[in-house]
Amino acid sequence: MMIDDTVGRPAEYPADPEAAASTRDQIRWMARRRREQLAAVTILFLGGALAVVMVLSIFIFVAKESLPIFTNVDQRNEMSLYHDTENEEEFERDASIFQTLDNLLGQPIWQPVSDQSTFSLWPLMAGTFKITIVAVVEGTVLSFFTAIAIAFYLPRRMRYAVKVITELLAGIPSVVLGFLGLMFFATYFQDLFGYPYRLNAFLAGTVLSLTVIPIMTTLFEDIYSSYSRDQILAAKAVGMYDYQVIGRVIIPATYGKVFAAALLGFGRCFGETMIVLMCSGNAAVLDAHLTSGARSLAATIGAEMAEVIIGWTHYSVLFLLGLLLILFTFVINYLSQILIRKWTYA
Amino acid sequence: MRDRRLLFEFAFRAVSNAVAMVVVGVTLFILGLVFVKGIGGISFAFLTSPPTGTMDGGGIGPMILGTAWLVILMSLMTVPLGAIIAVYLNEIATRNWLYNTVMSSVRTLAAVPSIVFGLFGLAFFVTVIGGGLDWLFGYEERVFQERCLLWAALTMGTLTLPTNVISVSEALKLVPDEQRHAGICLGYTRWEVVKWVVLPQAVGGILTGLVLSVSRGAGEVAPILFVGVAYFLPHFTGDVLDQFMELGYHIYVMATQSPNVDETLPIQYATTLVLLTLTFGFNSIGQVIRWMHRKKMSR
Repeated sequence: MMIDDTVGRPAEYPADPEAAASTRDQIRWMARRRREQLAAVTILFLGGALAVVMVLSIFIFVAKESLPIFTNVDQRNEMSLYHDTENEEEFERDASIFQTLDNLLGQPIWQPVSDQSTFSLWPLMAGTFKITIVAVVEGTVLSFFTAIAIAFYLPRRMRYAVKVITELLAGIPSVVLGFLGLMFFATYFQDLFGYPYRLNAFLAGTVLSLTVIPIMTTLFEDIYSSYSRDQILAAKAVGMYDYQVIGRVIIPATYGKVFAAALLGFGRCFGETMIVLMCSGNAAVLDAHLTSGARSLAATIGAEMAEVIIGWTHYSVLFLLGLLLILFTFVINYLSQILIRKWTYA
Repeated sequence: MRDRRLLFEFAFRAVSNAVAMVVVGVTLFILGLVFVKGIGGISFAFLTSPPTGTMDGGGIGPMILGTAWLVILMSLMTVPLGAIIAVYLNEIATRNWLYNTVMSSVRTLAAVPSIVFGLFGLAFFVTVIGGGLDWLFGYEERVFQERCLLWAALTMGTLTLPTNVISVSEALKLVPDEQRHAGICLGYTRWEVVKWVVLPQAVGGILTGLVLSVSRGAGEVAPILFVGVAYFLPHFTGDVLDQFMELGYHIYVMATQSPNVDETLPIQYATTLVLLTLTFGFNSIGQVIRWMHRKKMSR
């Protein structure tokens, strides 16, 4: 490819400096170029540093806003479950951190707006987990077979079309999926499966799985397509059918990568807000039924943050939920990095 | 024995192909559903007029303007910064711990849930930066320390930063090393190589990043839920320190909080169609640019 080196070249840079300028001009020119280089590299470096600062400050500022429930005595008093709202004046007690922890981890009730606010994390964690598990299981199964079909079974013409259409799914905003889940799929799912609540964890998880299918299909398909052609041919040469090649050669060898991909899908799912907010019913209940309502950490922040007063207990607790989300993200990212590094062979 | 294997093979093939067809079918069904149900409500008046007070009539003019402003301000922040970070990572940094730190920061930024960016926007942009500006200019009442369009755009910019970094990085990697070496041999400094050899060929990547982040930014609602988006504000002022209405948030509000959800269903589908066309159109344009750029570079 030809490089057009006249494009963007300023006039003060002579094409042939030796011919054009005196020695002094040349020295000036070199110094100018060096200054420019230094300035540019500094700016680029600062840009890179800014990325690090951003990640750190996301962590620091979210943590900072959530700290008062542990450090501020007024918020601790408010968190205390033995808070007597009838006699507010007589209530002069320094609640300890343990009272805050008791509220967060004690009886499993999420009831932020009441006389005695209880902010139990358990129902929210359970809800998040239920929805995410449904989404990841459905997403993994569907993506697995779709990727197999793309890599092995579909006619060549259709492979590309299926790939492109699957990736189209990634271009649909989550609020649109949530809206369709709420307005369209909810009713049909209820008719189909006959469960008691129209909006529930299963519906939210199913709609949510649509957001991970494109990502996971691409990852799986990359894994299968990049698998050694020779080994596949060797397996076929000893008389294996395609399903045996997949089940006995490829899956055992790519097990870790597949698991890492599923883990990445998990990371995508548990922080998703809009779909869960619109489809899950937002009932903070602690049970193991997939067909009951559920409330996730992210959806709780989204639903309640707009109404809280900045700096009050409820505000801090919502930031604590955000901090939990960040920590989960870190852990899952770290795990999947380790898995990819550990199982990368072939 | 042989028959059973053949049966398995057939079944496995059938299941795989069927699942692929289901995924394709669901995608096309969703797109078709929104199109068929929404196309009836679209008209010039709908696209330009403000909504009525009870949310059961009127159009989506202010939301389109609000979304457009949000996306433009966001791009002004995220595109240059994304390009800078990508150039630093690919052209300047040596592969040491610093490079790894920046790289994993970008990766982490891409993995953090979008709602957390909203918390960050509230805690950092609104409270710290906004509060700081108010203190700096000595305002008694809150001017900058409010939930507004400016901070929403910056929040969205932080969210879409990794998209840009990755697109530009991809484009930079397509530039062959021989050209960089040739530039250095001719006496270019590192920066001059970037400026005159690498960047002109990476314009496609920067454009891809711009378009993809616009698509993402227009579609995301979670990060701006509590950083400036308004429930009802029928006249878009254009002031970056005001609240604004946004398409995605409007869909959410109408679907969950409006008094008569069923009557406004046609409007909701029409709004969804507009949003989907926007994000989808930009996403497709981005993919086409990326594809054309790859083709051009591999020639």
